[in-house]
Amino acid sequence: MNNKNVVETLAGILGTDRVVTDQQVLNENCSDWIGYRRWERFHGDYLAPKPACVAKVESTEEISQVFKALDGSGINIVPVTGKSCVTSGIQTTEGAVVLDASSMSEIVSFDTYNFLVTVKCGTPLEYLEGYCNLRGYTTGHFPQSLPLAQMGGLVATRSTGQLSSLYGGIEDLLVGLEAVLPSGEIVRIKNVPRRAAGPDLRHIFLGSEGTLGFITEITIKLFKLPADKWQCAYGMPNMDQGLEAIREIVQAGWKPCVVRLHDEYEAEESYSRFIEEGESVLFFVAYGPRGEAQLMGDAINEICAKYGARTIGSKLVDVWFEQRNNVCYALDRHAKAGNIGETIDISANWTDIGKIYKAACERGYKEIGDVIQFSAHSSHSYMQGTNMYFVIIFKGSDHHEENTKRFRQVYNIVMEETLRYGGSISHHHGVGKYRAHWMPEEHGSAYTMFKTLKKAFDPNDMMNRGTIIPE
Amino acid sequence: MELLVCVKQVPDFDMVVPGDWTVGPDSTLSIDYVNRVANCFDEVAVECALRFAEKGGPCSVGVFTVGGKAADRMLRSLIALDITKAVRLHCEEDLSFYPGQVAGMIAGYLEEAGIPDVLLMGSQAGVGDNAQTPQLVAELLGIRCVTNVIMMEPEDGGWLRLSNLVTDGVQELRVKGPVVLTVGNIGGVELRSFTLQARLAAINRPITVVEAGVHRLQRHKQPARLYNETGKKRCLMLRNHTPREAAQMLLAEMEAAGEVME
Repeated sequence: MNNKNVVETLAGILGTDRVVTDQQVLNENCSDWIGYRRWERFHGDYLAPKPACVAKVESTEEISQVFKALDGSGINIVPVTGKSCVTSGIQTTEGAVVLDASSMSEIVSFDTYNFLVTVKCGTPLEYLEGYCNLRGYTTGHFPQSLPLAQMGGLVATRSTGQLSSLYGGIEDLLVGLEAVLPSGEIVRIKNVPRRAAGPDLRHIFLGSEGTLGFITEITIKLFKLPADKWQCAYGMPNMDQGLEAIREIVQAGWKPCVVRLHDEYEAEESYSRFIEEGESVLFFVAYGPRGEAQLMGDAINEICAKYGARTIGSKLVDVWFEQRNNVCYALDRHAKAGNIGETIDISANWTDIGKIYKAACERGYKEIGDVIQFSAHSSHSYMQGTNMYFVIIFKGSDHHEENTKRFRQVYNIVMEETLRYGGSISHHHGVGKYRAHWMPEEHGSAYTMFKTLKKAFDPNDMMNRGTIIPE
Repeated sequence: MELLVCVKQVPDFDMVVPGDWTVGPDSTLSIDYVNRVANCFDEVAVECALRFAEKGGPCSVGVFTVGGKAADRMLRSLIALDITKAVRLHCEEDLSFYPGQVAGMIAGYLEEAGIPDVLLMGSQAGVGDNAQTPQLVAELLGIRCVTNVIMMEPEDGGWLRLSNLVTDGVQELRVKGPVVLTVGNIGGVELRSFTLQARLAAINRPITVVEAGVHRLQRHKQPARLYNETGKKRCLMLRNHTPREAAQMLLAEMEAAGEVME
């Protein structure tokens, strides 16, 4: 099916005003926020392959009709909602259809008896959270993309939020969903607290990044707004001591909602007036019923002291709360100054995470000529390990090919060191297309299961080709 | 040719927690925790100077600030950008609202140390926003001052070709130093970043610290009061109108409320 045919087919289902072929719209929808594409766009270039059109859908039934019309036609469909992806997950192929459900925004039900809220996939998380807060509740989900993200994409990418150490990631928050399979069939996974009625089908969609179907409706948990809060920041002698303090705290069973350890570079950059020279910064926020937060705080104080912590206090945490979603502004400022920035998230067990951090930073300093920043922080901790979120900035050049090559070089450093020590190449940013070629090494013998799933659900390879499984 | 850029250190107001925008009884804000950064227009001035130096001819670029020891952090980050000289006129006092005093200190120092060919400054700085210091420095030193420069290029014989913004448009000038130039926001001009290697290499490069000399200008104004301005907002819902209709309705509403200036 050529571009003209696909546009006509879609117009027949959705109406011509909802099938957009304007060149600027196609340009703006051909890629996402991955660093080198951000750079290109900043300089007025749109170098990713262009889709044939952007089709705006407004209901589950419309998506089903579109899938039935296009399945088997050879067309690649890229499903999108908030478009906050950072791994080329929604980068299009030439002639693809961007299926945009961002206007499917609705709070379908708000159930304070069962603590469930059901929304359509295009509901902005920021709007939903505000809605919940007004009523004394929270979703507990605070990804840094909060100002942009919509619920469908958050489930599809297995997102996590800044308060995940208490509330968990999206996989812990999701209760049920509705989706459209590539065949056009509409499926619903009902809302129950837990069941052992076969494998958990939700996990087919969680992290599927639009390759196995289109998530159209989501039910997540509600939480009461916390009654009590405690927060404190510490200067730590180094990252190793910080990681050990976190390990002891979480393994003791404490669950502060925020656990963040920033290395010396980031501490100096963001909190220079709080820290002493060479310090890393470790801070915590604890939520809970009345009395519990302070109890947790006392325990954290005691444990941190064992690892050389110097108490800074709570003002630093207030500053973080205000600035925590400003990374896009920071990266735009760097783009203005001629620099390319990227953030790369990985995870590993406690025995390996410090080694990955050191090895990657060392290689970054040595191998990237014009590196401006190669730093990291830990922001999601578990009893078994933690993540490491690398922030890398280097000088861009006027030649996009050169930038693309250097971007790949930077990315390779983090991916290679992570895999070398047995970590995971993605903690919460997803795989997209950019990390797809590392997937066989990431999953080893289990990789074949992805191909089996893909064949079963999308035998004609219609859905977001090249994502998760490389082309 | 010697270029010297005066850089003011200002608080990074983006860091202030909203609840801290409260004026104390002594007319101060409690924002000691906020990072200090180079004033954005002064950063543009540094970038202009570096680009000028790259355009050819023997040229040195130095930076200069008036401030306490805390300003050394800002100077260190600038040294990492191929800056040949960094000087701090030591003064722990907050002189944000005393442009005359600052100008006097700068002029006093330069009369002793030597007036550079080009003295670049941002046209104004956050906190104070006086927009007076560069002109006062030029007056005290008895040299020319060109404001709102948007382009500067070297020419043979020590001449500078400048474009600057004036009331009616853009003016083209040729000047010879010594001269004070002020810059504001220039599109496409952002201060470059230093690499980690450059930063490491610059760690041991010296910052010259000079004690502030006699204050040439004694007159200054005392700030009378600092207070929070409460911003009242109101919303007018305009639905189902064309943009032209909506704009006209909004204008009529604002005129009726006395909110439109002549």
